[in-house]
Amino acid sequence: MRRAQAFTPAFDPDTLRRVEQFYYREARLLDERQYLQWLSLLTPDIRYRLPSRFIPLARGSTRDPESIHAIDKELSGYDAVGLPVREEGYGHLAQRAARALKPNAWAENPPPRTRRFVANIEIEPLADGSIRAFSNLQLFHSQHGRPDHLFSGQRRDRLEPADGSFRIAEREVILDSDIVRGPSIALLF
Amino acid sequence: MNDIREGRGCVAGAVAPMLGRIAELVTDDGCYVGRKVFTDPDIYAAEKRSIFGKSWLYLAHDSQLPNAGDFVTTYMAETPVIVTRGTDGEIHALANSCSHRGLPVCRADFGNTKGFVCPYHAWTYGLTGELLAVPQERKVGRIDKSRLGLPPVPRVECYRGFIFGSFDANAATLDHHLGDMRFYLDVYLDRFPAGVEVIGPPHKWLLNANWKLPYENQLGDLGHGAYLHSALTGPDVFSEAENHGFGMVPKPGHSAAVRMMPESATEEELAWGVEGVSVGMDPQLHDYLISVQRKAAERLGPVRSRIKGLVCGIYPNFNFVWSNHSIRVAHPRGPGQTELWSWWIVPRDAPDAVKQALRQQYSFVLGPAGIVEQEDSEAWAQQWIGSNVDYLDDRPYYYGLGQGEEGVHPDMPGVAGKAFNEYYARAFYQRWRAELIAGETT
Repeated sequence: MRRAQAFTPAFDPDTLRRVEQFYYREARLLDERQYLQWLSLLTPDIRYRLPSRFIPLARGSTRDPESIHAIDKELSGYDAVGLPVREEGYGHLAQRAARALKPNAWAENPPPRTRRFVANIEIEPLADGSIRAFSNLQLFHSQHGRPDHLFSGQRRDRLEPADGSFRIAEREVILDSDIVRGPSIALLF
Repeated sequence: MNDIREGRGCVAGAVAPMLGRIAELVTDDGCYVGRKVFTDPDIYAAEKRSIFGKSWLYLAHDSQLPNAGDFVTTYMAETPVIVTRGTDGEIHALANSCSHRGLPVCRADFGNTKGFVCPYHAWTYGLTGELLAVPQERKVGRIDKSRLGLPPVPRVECYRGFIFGSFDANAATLDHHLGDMRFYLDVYLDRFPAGVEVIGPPHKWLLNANWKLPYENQLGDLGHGAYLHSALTGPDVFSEAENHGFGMVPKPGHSAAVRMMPESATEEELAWGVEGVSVGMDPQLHDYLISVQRKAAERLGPVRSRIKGLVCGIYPNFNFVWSNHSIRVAHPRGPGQTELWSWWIVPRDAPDAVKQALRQQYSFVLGPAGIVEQEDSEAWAQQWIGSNVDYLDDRPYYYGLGQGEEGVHPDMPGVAGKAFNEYYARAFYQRWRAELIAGETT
């Protein structure tokens, strides 16, 4: 567990619009299985994390009543005493992208049909010129021989400006399931 | 003491015709296994009674419960169980179900507590399951609380920190159950001077597959690696397993797939953990793994320190993946679904930076997002599709590869099969059949 990071979204319609367009493009590339082009949206030192989610013992606090069910108490994997589902860098993601395009990557052949919906985007410009962006993600997944599945979660990103657009420097994916009922969370969320 | 059994209360009349079916589903030599073994609801009910109701089942690791009041929740097959460290310092395992109306009394995955309170009427239980308080007693008078505790799992025993429980009060000891499997566990567990620890919550994911498939795969299926996982690895990665690999079966149902490396092997080739590294090798990690190997030679001796594990299984549903730091249980959820729970396990005295590097080798390769395991999960789910084809009931699966070639190894206990010999699986299904027949007869 760790302390929730302060997030102070700002009203900046122009930047918000550009972030939105960036996410739409990203979603389209992934849904169209253009995984190698997706890699170009990442910084070389990207930190990509997906904490595991568990059920802690609820402890109330009269001083801070909302802390009892704070989301961050359910997440594991940020420090040495926890276990994330994923903690990856560019090399890992590049290996996933390359694998997914091979005919003998059997979990991907026939490939899943995915549809990503990005919503509830909020942004906070940071002092170093990058942008913290929170968004919600729904990912519809349909694949021959298995039930359709809808993933739901939040993404907490840090985007760096690059070539008039952005690159993803940090991504944290907070999925809403504890027991993973979907086909795989090796996907690119 | 109450004892709890999987599936108690099944209709007795259904049992007799099933015995014949079980006997027919697996041939005497274990070479043919019928598709219904994986799909039939009656077979599954019999498995819960006669295998999960009697065998030793993995519960937790000692390191998850360092202090009095610590608990974790888990399952024994489909029975919810709380494992606690009592104020007596001992490990206890209790059915997670209130004696009054049956609700689970603990809803958290782990934590530290003084006891468990049922949400419905606030019946309150202590860490050893004793019923401490019934609030309604104030209104209606006293009841005999001594008979209304949480049913304890009647047997709980531990081997080198691995805690197992059995629903069978008369089960032979855990040591007896493990037998020479301890030799192979020790090659790993005794390698590290301060032992090992489990860190963080387990990964949990639901497979559309019968529980025996993931278990069987990680029992010793060396034959699939070069094919199912060929998108990731060239064929040479598996040549070590092919050249030096053995499926060692110290007892039917258990197995350890290992490589017995030649005396000429370098430290690098011998060292535990090096092979699991998939993207980049951190120099600190490298030095650590080599230093562990040097100590291993002193601790384990010249022969055992040359044993390099791959996967192993403890009957009926516990696996250990040596190269990528994971222990796991296949919790059955009906014949067609399995919750796979997978924990990260590391040397206790490794520096934090090394642990973190090892953690990445686990989560990137195995688990619900594992780049290797995603192919396995797919294969197990696809096997379920094939197993449900009624029209092919007369075409059982073939498990006969290498039959008769198994023998003994001069340095390792048990029956030894070369890498592609399916003896480990034949022995598993032979034991499975024998236990079902014995259990359903009595």
